[in-house]
Amino acid sequence: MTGAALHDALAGAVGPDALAGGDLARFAVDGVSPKAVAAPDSADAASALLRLANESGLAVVPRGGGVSMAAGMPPDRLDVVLETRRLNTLTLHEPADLVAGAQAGMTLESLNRALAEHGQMLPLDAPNAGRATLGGILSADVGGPRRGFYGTARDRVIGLNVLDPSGTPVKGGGRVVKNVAGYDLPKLFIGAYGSLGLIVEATFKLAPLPAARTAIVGAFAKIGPALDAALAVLKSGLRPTALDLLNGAAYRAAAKRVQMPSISDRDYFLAAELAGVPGAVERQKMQVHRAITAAGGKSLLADETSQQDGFWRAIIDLGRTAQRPATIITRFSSRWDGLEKLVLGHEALAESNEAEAAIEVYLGVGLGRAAWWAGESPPPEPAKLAAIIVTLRKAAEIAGGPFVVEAAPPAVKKLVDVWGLPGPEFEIMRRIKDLFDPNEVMSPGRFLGGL
Amino acid sequence: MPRAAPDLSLVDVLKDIVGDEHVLHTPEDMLVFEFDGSIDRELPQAVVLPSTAEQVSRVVRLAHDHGVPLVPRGAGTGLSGGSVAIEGGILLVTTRMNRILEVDPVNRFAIVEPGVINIHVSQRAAEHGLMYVPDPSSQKTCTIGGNVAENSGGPHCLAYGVTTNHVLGLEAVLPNGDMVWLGGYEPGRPGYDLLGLFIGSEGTLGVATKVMVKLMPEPEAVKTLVAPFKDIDDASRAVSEIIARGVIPAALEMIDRMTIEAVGPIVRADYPPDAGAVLLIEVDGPREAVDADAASVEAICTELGAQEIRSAEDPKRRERLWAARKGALGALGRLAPNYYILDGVVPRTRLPEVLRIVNDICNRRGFRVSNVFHAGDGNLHPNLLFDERIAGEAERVLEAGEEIMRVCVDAGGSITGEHGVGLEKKSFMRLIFTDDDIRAMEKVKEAFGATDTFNPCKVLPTGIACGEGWRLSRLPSIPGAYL
Repeated sequence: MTGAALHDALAGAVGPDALAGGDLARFAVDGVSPKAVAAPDSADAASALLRLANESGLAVVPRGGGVSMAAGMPPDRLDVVLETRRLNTLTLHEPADLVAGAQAGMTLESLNRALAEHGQMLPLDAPNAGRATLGGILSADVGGPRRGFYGTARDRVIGLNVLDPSGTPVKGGGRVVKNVAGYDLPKLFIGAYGSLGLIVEATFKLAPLPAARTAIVGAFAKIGPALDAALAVLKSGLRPTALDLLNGAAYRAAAKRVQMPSISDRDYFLAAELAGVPGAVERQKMQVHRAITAAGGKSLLADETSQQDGFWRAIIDLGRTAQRPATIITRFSSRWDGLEKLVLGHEALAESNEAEAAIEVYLGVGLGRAAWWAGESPPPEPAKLAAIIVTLRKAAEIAGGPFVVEAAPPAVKKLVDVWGLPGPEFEIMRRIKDLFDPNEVMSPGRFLGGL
Repeated sequence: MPRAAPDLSLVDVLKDIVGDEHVLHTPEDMLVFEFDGSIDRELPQAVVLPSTAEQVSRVVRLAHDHGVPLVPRGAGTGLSGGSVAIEGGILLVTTRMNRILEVDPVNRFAIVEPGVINIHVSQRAAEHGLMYVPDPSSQKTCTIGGNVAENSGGPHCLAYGVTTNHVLGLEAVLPNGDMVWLGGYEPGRPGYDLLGLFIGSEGTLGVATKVMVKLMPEPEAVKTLVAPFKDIDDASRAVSEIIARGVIPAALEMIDRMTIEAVGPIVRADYPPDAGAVLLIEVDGPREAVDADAASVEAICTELGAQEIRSAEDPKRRERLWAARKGALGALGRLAPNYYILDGVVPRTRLPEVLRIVNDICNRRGFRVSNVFHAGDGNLHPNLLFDERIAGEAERVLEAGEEIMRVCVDAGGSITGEHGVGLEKKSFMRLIFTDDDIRAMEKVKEAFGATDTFNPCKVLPTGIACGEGWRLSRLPSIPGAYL
């Protein structure tokens, strides 16, 4: 389809005012510019767009707030970027049911603002929550420090409305908190990076806002004692809402944003959040404090709620701020016994490449993330970054966990695959993709193994 | 080069795979495998009890290659017919695969075989101060493999989620006999969430042969409360008020008067005899939170008319308060020759009105009904009492069940919260799903390679015409099979 014909056909499907004008390079996906950008104002309009795409062999990449667009491989083809930002209605909130539903383009922050009026929240963490949309968070299965306590999108979503790649509405689950009718289709679309359809609406199981919250940070000279303290906390049966290991770069990046002391003589930090009834929070904070001290660490307390919130926000946003975006962001996971070596390996690699790696690990979950800065001028050589990724992936393989590049410049993606090699179960995934999207409409080539 | 063997019966081949004594094929031997906890029953042609994943794989492959129906089964405690060999064929029973392979208290997981009994996982975990949360009422007999298939719930799933929230990974034999691992300890694995699809697929996408479950620390403190109410209406109002005020108890169960009367003589439940309904509420967590939550719960219940609220923290006394709940289903046999247990879900705020309608339906249709259920989740279990010896009663009770399902759906709910669709509720799937929704599920099934002979006729209201003469009358022999 030529540019003009495409424009006319899309205008027919979604209405002319839903199409973006001007230079579309600002919507480029991994350096590939779309031929058109459409922001349908209803699920029906989005459905008409996908139907058109499916019939005309167009390739569509969905986009929410643009927070996770650097994930995945560059698209094989790209005709239309489909923005969900106008699908932003709160569709259901029954406070007494602790359930809410919203359209995919609503941001996490605006949903949580509405819920907070009723003392409730959707306890998912996402970078740039003011921009990050629910659809994007679910598609990229974004999670943060509180995932070990509150669960992730797959634990919180109770119903999902999607459009399959032909524009046909498909739903899974419902609006009740317990439901085993039919296959659990919401799971299929969560973490599918928009490769199987467009999420248009989701219904969530909410949580009450805790009456009290507090944060405590332990500063350590070495990583071993920091991990020992964390293990002691977990073994004591405490259930902190977050328990993060941070290396010096990660801690100081966050501390700087909220005017917490930089503690330049310590290199590893254990950050815990405790939430619940005030008495329990206070007492548990002291227990964490004792565990930190017993392991040779020094405790810092962020007493003001605003400072705490800012601190966690800074941790969640690590490497994704507009002021100082990381060059690449990587993700690894490991059991306890592999963590120390992986983190030290990251740091040694950063040092030998004259790069900086800010690392956070969600303890008790075994998931880590590293934001890398490899110099700004001159910009780092793609080959150098690719070599870092290859080395990290090898280390992750030895530790036995998956390794994924969550964000990297397109030039680097030409040299290394961001997902790594799929396992034997990939055959089932391939068949799912072929059955759901035979014309390869949705984000072609972006996901694992070219799905 | 192997030489061609004479034709063999499938039973002989099965015996060769798992050993003679682990294949049952006479009707007398197979009788106990004819049914589960639901209504449908059917004899398979052979019952096979493998002891390893590799044996499971060979049996599944054999059935696949010869077009013989194969149905996986754990302890057979299911409540929707998921493990009934409705088209005959091979029933693959996992109960011999009952080893707990690994308990890792540091990383907080256990790897178990599918035939391990639910409560055995919790008992082993307790040695490390940990627990496995999902606790179906049948937890003393049901298997983890069956729990995975059904995505089982239980009273303590209110605060912590059901099976799918507590399984990290599993090894599965796919319908063609191939073995794969789905998921694993480490999160953040890229790719479609095949594990999430597999759990709750009611044994239609494969057979789990190893399951890695998440263990959680035991709570610091636990308190169980029993709040008697004048009637079910007041009790259900208290349920939604508790949730609305932001208290999420670990468990929030309702038991009505008929159930209390039935259980009374069996377990010393010690509930006030004149209560119309009782709420059994358990709060857990940090010491101070338990005190605060228990106080809120007590205040709410008192406000809504509960009298003589009793509570216990000591494990023995708590167990006594739970005894009536856990023994309820068994006790119903005292009230009528048969009972039909329904499983529907409604938004918790709709509980009072839906329970009233359910009661009206049963009155109008002349069935006594007892209610004992997971009120906090909005998960109803009306038990309709009937006598199948009376001509037409069985059909009439099913009709009443259908009407109640429609009420749940109209209230914004679902046709099953934890018992599954199985055979029983296939025809209700269209009450909540469109043809397109169901087609999407069929695609998932096709992607897993499930053919019409792998656990046939379950869950999806499509596919081959089941129970209409297609049923295998005998197992085929295998031409030139090699031993």
